[in-house]
Amino acid sequence: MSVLVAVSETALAPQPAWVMILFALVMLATYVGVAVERFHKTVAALCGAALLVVLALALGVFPDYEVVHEKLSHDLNVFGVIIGTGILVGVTGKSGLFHFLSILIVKTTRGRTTALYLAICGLTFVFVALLTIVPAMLIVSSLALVICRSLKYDPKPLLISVAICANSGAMVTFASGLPNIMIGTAARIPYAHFLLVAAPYAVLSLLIAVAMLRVMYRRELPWNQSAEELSVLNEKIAQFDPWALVDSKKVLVRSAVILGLTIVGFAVAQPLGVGMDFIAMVGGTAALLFAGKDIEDAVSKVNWTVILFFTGLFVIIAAVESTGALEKLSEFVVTLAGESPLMLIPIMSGFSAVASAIVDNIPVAATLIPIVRHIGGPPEPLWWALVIGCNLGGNATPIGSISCVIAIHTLHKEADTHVGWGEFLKVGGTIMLIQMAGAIVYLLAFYSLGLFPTLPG
Amino acid sequence: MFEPTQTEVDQDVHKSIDLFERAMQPGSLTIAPPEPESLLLALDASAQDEMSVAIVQRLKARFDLKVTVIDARDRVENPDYAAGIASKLQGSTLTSVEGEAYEKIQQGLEATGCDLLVVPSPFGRDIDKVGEDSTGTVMDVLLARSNVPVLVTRKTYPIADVPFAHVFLAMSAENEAAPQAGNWAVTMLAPSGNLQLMLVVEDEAVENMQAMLKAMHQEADFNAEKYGEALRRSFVPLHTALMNASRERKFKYSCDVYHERHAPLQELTSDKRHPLLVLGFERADHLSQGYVHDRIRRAENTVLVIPR
Repeated sequence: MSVLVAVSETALAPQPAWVMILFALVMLATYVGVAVERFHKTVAALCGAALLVVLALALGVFPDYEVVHEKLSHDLNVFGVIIGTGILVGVTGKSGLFHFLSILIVKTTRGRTTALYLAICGLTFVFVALLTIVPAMLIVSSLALVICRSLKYDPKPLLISVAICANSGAMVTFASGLPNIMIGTAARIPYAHFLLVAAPYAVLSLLIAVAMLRVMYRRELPWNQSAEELSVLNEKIAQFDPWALVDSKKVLVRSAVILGLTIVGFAVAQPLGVGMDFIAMVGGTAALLFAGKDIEDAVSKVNWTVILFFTGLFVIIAAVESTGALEKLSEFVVTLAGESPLMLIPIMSGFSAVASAIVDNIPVAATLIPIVRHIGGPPEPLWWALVIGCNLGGNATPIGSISCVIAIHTLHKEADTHVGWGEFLKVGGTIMLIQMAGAIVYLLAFYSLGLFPTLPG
Repeated sequence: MFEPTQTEVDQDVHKSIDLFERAMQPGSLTIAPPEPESLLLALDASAQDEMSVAIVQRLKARFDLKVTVIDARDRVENPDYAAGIASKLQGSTLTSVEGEAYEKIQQGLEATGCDLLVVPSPFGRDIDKVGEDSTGTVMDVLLARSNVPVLVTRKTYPIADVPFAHVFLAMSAENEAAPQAGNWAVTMLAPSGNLQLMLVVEDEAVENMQAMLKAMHQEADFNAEKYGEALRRSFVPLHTALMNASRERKFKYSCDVYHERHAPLQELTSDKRHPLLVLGFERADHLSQGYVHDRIRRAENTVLVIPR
């Protein structure tokens, strides 16, 4: 159970308005620090947490320091998922499995531009769903660059497409991205529910993105190829040998099996009565045991920075929530929506998407989670609005999502190609608007038809 | 998972690009393992002969080899020694001429036209006394002159009916004998055995390269990891050929970079699985010569040297 549930269980007394405002201001200042990157975002979060703990103890928001431990103890499952999947992704990535699959799929396209484009977009979607955004982006963006260099294509359309398709892949499963892990853990959403609700719209949003990108980049790639051109490209693609990427077939196969079993484990975690963190840790341990060649290296690949960032963030949210400020904000949102779920869905989707386009979607999710909890009523539509908004919002701006940041930076460094804000907003912003409009319709349809699976008590 | 720095993105994208570019090298190399038809076994009446005979027995059974035995000692005190072993191996003996041991072996190679030479090292000396200090003059001369692969026996150990379930093909730098070494590694590997291409990063080689690069470019940034990556790139054709051969011939195969600083390379010297160590010997390359001699000196298990 998450910190957010724990806070409501702790039922600390609401604080005076000035305390709420003070704590909210410190939280906002921390978020600004995270957004502007004046400090490292982890340092910003830890500074904000330290300040709020001091204030909470001094002003009696926390009756004693033990409250901090109690609140953080409820978030161990998030840390478990991050550590376990981090090790698993590191080991399977190093086995060459995803590079191998990439070349295998690219070879099937036989150099046809449309097939190649769809294959790369599809690979991005699947790899992000399995590996999370950063490792998947590093693989697919380098693949796109290598192919573009080999076939003498302009890399911009492919890399921007990869960046935008990545954000659709990020909402497929519980473990596809940090916002999903946070929201899924807080709301106790089973893995299978992601496949029932988020995954179908992830596919739809991918189709929307691919169709729009195909139109937007209709002049940048040689979509219509002559038989002669096709033959030359096919010859080049045929030279790719995926086995050159594999150091050991045994490690490759073991990595694939462990990854597959971990995904199955996530899906059956709830019926088995265990947490996602347990499955992730077992998967990570199995990877170290059976497929890890360098254990120290694999463990060091776990993103300890993000764990420290989360520690700070969870303390900040817990402190602010303990003042009663987030509950007040929830009441305001409900009033704004006229207490109608049909209004709350677009508000929550829209707000989370716009906020995620401007700042990191992790603090956005962390802040909106307690608000959704306090809103009351059937919570399912709002959790899914949050999942979709936090993931797709990043498509709108060059800084909205790490996938866009990596793609634009890689284009600049490796292809000497600059993508400005205006150019990106025109492509990504338009796609995000259409995707979010579709998401709102999708969520309202689910709500009206009673299709949202009920969350376990 | 979390936002990496621009430097981290650059490094990781470069690594990934390098990896994909490996897949783009045309498959110019195909493994064609030779089928040896005959071998020459050189005896020195030392304890190592027992190991040589055991290996030859098994190779003969596996490849239906024609075996010729030569007693190559400077002074043959027991003329029946070679005949007894030849009889045991259902082979023939070669009457040796006068001369140094290496001359006798050399003449034996010319007379038989065999595909493989089996010889102990150090020749005519107790390996436990000589230890890692010398491979012996006979080995020096044979490596310099032999045109056929030389299977060097070292310490005696119990050997399986089908030997060489583990074969290590070690490379530390560009080596023109590498393709042939790959072919022979596959030939010698037991069916369904485990072949490993070991790309060895030697400290001295890294330091030499660092010094040279520094001399050319003051800001040159070079380290063991980059050397390992360069080795990987250099051996992509061999790696790909071996990987494809492993799939066709159903043996286990892997490729790893070993840093001498981090691992003492026990696998290459005294692995208790008694792997066969296969080395390419490029005569025109002094580094290759030094490397092969060094490996034989330090080896406890059998070594196969493929000269070119």
